[in-house]
Amino acid sequence: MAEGAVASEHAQRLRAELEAGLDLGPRWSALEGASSGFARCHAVSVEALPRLAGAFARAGYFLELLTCLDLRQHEGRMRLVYTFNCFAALDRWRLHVDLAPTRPWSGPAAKPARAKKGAAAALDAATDAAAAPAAAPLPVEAPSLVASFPAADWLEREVFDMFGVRFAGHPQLKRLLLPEDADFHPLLKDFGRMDAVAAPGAGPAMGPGGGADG
Amino acid sequence: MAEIWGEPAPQPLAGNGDDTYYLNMGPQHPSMHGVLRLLLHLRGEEILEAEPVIGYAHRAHEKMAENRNYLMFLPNSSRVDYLSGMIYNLAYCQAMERLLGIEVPERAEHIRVIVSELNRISSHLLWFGTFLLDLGGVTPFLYAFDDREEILTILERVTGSRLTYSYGRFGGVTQDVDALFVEQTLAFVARLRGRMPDYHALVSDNVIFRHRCEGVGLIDQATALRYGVTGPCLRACGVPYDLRRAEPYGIYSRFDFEVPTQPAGDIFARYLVRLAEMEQSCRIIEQAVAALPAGPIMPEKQKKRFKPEVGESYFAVESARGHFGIYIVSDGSELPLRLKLRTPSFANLSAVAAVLKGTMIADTVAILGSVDVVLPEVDR
Amino acid sequence: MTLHVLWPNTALMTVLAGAVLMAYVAFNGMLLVWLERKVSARFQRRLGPTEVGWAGLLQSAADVIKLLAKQLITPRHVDRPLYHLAPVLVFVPVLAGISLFPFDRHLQLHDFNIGLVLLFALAGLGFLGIFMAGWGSNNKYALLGAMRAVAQNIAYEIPLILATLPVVLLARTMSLREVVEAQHQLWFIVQQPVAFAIYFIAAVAETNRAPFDIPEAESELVAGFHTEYSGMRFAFFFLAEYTNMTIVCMIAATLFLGGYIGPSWLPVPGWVWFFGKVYLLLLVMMWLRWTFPRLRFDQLMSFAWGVLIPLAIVNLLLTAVAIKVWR
Repeated sequence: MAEGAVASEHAQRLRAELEAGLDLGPRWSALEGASSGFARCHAVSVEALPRLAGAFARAGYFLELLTCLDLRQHEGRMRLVYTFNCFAALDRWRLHVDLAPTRPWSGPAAKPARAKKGAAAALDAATDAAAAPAAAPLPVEAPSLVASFPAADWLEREVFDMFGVRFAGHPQLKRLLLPEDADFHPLLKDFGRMDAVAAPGAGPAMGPGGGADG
Repeated sequence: MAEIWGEPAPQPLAGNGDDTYYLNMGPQHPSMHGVLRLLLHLRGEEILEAEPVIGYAHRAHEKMAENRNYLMFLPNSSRVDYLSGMIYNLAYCQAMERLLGIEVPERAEHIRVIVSELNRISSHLLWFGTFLLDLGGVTPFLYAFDDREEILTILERVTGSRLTYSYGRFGGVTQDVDALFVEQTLAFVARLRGRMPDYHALVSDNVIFRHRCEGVGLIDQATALRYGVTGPCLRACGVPYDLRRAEPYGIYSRFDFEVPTQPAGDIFARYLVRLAEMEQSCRIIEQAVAALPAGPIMPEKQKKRFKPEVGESYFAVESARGHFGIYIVSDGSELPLRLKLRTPSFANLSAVAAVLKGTMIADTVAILGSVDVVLPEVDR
Repeated sequence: MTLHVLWPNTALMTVLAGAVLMAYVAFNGMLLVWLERKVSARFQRRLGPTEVGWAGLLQSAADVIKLLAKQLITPRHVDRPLYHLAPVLVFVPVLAGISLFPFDRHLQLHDFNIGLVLLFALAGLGFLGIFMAGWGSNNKYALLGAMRAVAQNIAYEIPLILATLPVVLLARTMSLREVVEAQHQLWFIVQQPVAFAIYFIAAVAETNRAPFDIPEAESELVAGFHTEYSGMRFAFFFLAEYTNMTIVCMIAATLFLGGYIGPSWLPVPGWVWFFGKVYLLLLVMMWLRWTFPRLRFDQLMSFAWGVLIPLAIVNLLLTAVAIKVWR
């Protein structure tokens, strides 16, 4: 890894590349300061993502995190969260990529499955979700970043596994953590609960309102 | 051969003609560190392709987090990586403190540093033992466990458990430490320092060990960057990236310690980095013990229910295996909207598949051992 | 077979002696297992077995009873004739091999004039059994283990034999008893230290012991060629391995350390010297096992072909020249 000076030069070039023609309105107030958790948060469009990722890769950043948020209940869409970071200097970028879902929010799972416990409840919920008509085609698609970041291989497979988001251009988009023949995506909010102990006072799923975006 | 037994012949996988030999290493295998399954494409002993298949230890921690309130997830956090449970547990506490805006008393901060570093040493010691076990050396394993036992005894006395500690609370720690803890900790540090020459004499200078390790399993900087490899594996290819230094959390910025690096990037470099890190952890422990102030271990006002404001928080710490991050998204309710765990072994293991190509079966075991993969942490 | 010198040559005596030898092999196996556990424990700052019998001496007996009582599992996919025959074929040669040694001046079943050749021939047979086990198990780890075992055996048999040839040249005989008798003035280890070193290293490899235990490297190949064996069938492999260790150490003691010859002013019978040397060498083998990590397969092979064999050949040639010049 290069020295700090080179890295900051990288960062400046990167920032210039990012700012050229992209909507870079800060999203959530980032927790600033040279402490753990520091990040610059930005919303970017799906179309701009591969180009941005290429810029990050060229600038010597690594893909720290990729995950997905199921915000269909709140905002009617899914959101991919990419985090890029740099070894040389603390310069974490968090990109929010909103995806328009084709599969609508089907409401909380049919049964809260309070009567059953743990895995049995999860299985029930899974079969319910599979039986629901809304579950037919998998919803959303995003471009794959595997070409720029091999680390995205597994991360994208995990997101596909858990959320059903498809990544166009991924070499082999198959399940990562769940069994190959699983037909559900458990981290979707309409999958249902799988807790052994129900939280006191908590509803069957997320409470209404309280959208993640302020 | 299967036709002889009246069974359908296995479907050929992507291979290299008829000479390719497929071997499923794991998920039940003596040296797969949990339940990793490696699908190996072999030509004799040489590996043409290695495909890790994971998920056998998937316990749905992230799903569980969404179904229970913030405090109820606390015991889960140390079970993600059972070898550095303390670090993970405290990382979750710190992430929540960030989200809730809780101040941690000074004494608790110091205790956290001491127990985290003890946990890091115990993880490294376990790695040292099992790594040598993978290479066929049984004796160092028991030496390392002998030392590790001391740490477990110290931590058990304070936290009540030996492996999956739930020692942290939002704002502090559960129990205060006493003079005996300090005494035992310093005695352990002295003991470990005394044992290090033994380890070097028994293992580091062994000619067979050197032959197995030097120049094998190279992870260079470019590979590390592309796969997001962190921790000792990254520092073993010359990148001095340690979150305790790069992104100081807690009170780590107050301590004087080095970030050991090695230029080579091979198995031996990773080995040396980890041994050096144990010494640095000892230094941090000594400083923290010396500076341990009196005072409370929890904030004055303690809440029973936690409802963070709408927003997201990311908190990253340096675990024994590398960069561990917790990403929490709150929708303002008592349950997290999403809790994502960025575990170091996940990224490190994904890089291993690229490294394994062209090595031998025996190297597979050595490389996996040297990367120090903890499967429950990969699968979560 | 004929009993040498001491006992009348009757069929009954031969059968009796055979039974004694079999009992010795079983007893020796148990003793070595116990010793191995104790030695490893002391190396690792543990106690080892202490519960059954004095200092855990009966632990091995308890293990034998356990193994005898265990169900013999035959996996469905094995090649039955090979699978069943393999443990026997591994065990019988070592049993035959151990009967060739002169335990004392007058304690030997029969002294063949080509005893050394016979020993190596028997040792080679054992590996046929190992390969049959690996092939017949129809298990990938077992086959890999068997392949390693065969390759390793071929590679290390050569330096093993080459290292014993200088002794044959010096003693001018292949009879084990006469080799020992030739060492009354001077043990051959003094004249042939290099040959002894080569022999001992190759012997450790030949018996699949650490650091050369790659055919059964448990961290790589689960258990190698005997992965699919359980109960007494497994015990046969185990017993054969320990007996093999004993045999190679007996060869070393016979060829290099003067066999049953000890300092004549000590009133100690010859067989005590012989077994004392054998168990001392066995202890060294255990010491090696509990100290070193395992070699990699290709390193093992290049060590045999690149270092041991050339060295053994050079040593043999030098010995031959020296004998020609000075005798």
